[in-house]
Amino acid sequence: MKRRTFLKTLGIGAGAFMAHNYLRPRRAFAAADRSFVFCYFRGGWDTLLSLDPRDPNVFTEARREETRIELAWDQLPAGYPRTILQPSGSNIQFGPVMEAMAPHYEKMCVARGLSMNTVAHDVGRRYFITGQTPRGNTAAGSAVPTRIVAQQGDQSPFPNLVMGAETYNDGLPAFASGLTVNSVTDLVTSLTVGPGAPPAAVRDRIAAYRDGKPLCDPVGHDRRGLLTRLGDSQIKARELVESGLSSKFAFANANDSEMTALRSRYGIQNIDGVPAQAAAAFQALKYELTQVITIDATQNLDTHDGNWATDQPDNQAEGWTALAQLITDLESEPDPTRGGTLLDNTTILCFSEFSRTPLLNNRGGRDHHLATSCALIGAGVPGNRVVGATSDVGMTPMAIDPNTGAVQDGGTIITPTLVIASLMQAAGYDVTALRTDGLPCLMA
Amino acid sequence: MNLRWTAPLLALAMLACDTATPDGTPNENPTETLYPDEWAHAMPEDRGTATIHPTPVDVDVDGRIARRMSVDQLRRSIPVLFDGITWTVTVRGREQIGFDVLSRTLGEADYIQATSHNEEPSPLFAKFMDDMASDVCNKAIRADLEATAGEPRLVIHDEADVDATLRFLRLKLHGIYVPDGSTEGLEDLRALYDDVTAAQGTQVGWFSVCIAMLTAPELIAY
Repeated sequence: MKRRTFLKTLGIGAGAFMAHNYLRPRRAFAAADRSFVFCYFRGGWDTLLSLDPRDPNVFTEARREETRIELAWDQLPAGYPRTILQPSGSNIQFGPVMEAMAPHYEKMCVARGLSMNTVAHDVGRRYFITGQTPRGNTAAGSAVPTRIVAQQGDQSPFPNLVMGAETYNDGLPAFASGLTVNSVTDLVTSLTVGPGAPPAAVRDRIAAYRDGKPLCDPVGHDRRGLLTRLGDSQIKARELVESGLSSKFAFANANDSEMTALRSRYGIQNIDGVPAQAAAAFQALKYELTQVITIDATQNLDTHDGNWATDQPDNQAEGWTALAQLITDLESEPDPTRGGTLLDNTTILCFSEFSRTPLLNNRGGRDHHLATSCALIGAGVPGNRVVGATSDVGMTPMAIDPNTGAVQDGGTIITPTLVIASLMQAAGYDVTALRTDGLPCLMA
Repeated sequence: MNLRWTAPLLALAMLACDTATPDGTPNENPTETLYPDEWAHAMPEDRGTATIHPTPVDVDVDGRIARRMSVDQLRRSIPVLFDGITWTVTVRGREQIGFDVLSRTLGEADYIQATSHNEEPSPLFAKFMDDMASDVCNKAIRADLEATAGEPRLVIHDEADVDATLRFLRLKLHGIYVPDGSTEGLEDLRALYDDVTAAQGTQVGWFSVCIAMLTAPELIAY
């Protein structure tokens, strides 16, 4: 939208603004572009409870020394099933905390037996976020969302929105850098007129001044378009705060039927909690605020002690339940630009820095374990598929046939790099920086 | 050297000069007239008119490119410009410096998650600059209104002389000197002040001018 058109619209349409309450931003995505949601399960998840379960009738307490796997599902709080969940027609077996996710098996691919090569939180997290083995404790290269947005281009107000997680930009265009907000509250602040701002009429007049004022140095300073970009950003920022988009994230607003419905669907109790982040991801994609969003999908899962039996299942289940609702919403929301539904054009990756030991430690908790799993959902993902496995003794990573995903001696060990390369390559993005191609079995 | 050989050698040298630039690199435009006799006593005007090539717009030939002010530059400049006043935000009931609380959002590298500053003037940056300007200008104008006679003013330099105050602010915030009696480059600001003052009073008028100047490219870009 041209600056003058925008200002004119503001002036003429103030009344209409009040009536409609928000202005849907223009459709920004190119038809071929894909949206992404990265869900980080913080702290190291117990995959036995979720993505890589075992049958409790086979992996019994009596066989613990033989299998080196101890389910201990009898210690879980009441309400969790004590069996593997596998809907009819599903090739994927789910653990007891994934009851909400199981119905989405057709859109989902689970990769098991990933080798993380680390049991350090920072290293594992940065390995998955960048798709590259960290240098010591330091992230190597840019975050995957940054890489994707760098290839997509600057197409939305917050192209790479990061909520409460880490992000890195190592030499890629600045627009691709993750715009970090710590919480939904911070996101709302970003979309709201600041405290102490002048009245709307004065803001309009300042905007008109900016519009009419000649650029201070169009030849020198604007040679690379800096002044033009600043002017455009000021307009964009104003569009955002005036558009009422903040109301789309005001989950506590009891007077807004959309918020009430979101609160009910996601079970939002706290505006900065995990369900609110999932709801924010949906709203951000629905209203095209972002191209790629990263959310912190759980509270801490680092359960070394007796809290494993309570916090691990409850926190994981909270994350999976919120994610299941996000998938349901994306699946039911039409995408007028790209066709189909939002989920048809969105890929979701769920990951954690590593998993937890298959045996309980002497404090009743689980420590860090090298082999883990991850879940891919949505566009470009081979649905209803399990790729790879961990062994039935001690849950070690097993090599696979890269084409079929079946376990194969002497095959390929899955790593975060291969998962990220598959995710990007399936969407048509360049993976040269990752120095590997994706696994055919992980690409639809 | 025998004079007999001088003329042919000189002719050969001139021929060579016609197809190569003085530093020896090939002339990319052989039809262009070159004057490889810069050591002669000829004056430029003796050469007649010269072909001046326009500067290509996509080539950096006249100095460094413009940059956005970094978060740290803003963090350190604003208190200097406003006698210690800076941007503050309230976080969980505590007042904190906005440039620190929002440093990552504004693009400052922390060398843990981000190893380089993001100095792109993004919409998020522009939004928070508006917030910063509102906060700082509010405080500065309040301080001016509470100042006793003779005390230096931060924004409203001379309440009775609007143009003098605009000249003062232009120099202070943008580093642009406007001589006494001149209003060059001040017309738009004056119109802004007059319009807002007519509708909302002088205090809001100065408030709007302060915000406009604090978020102007003359301050944010350098």
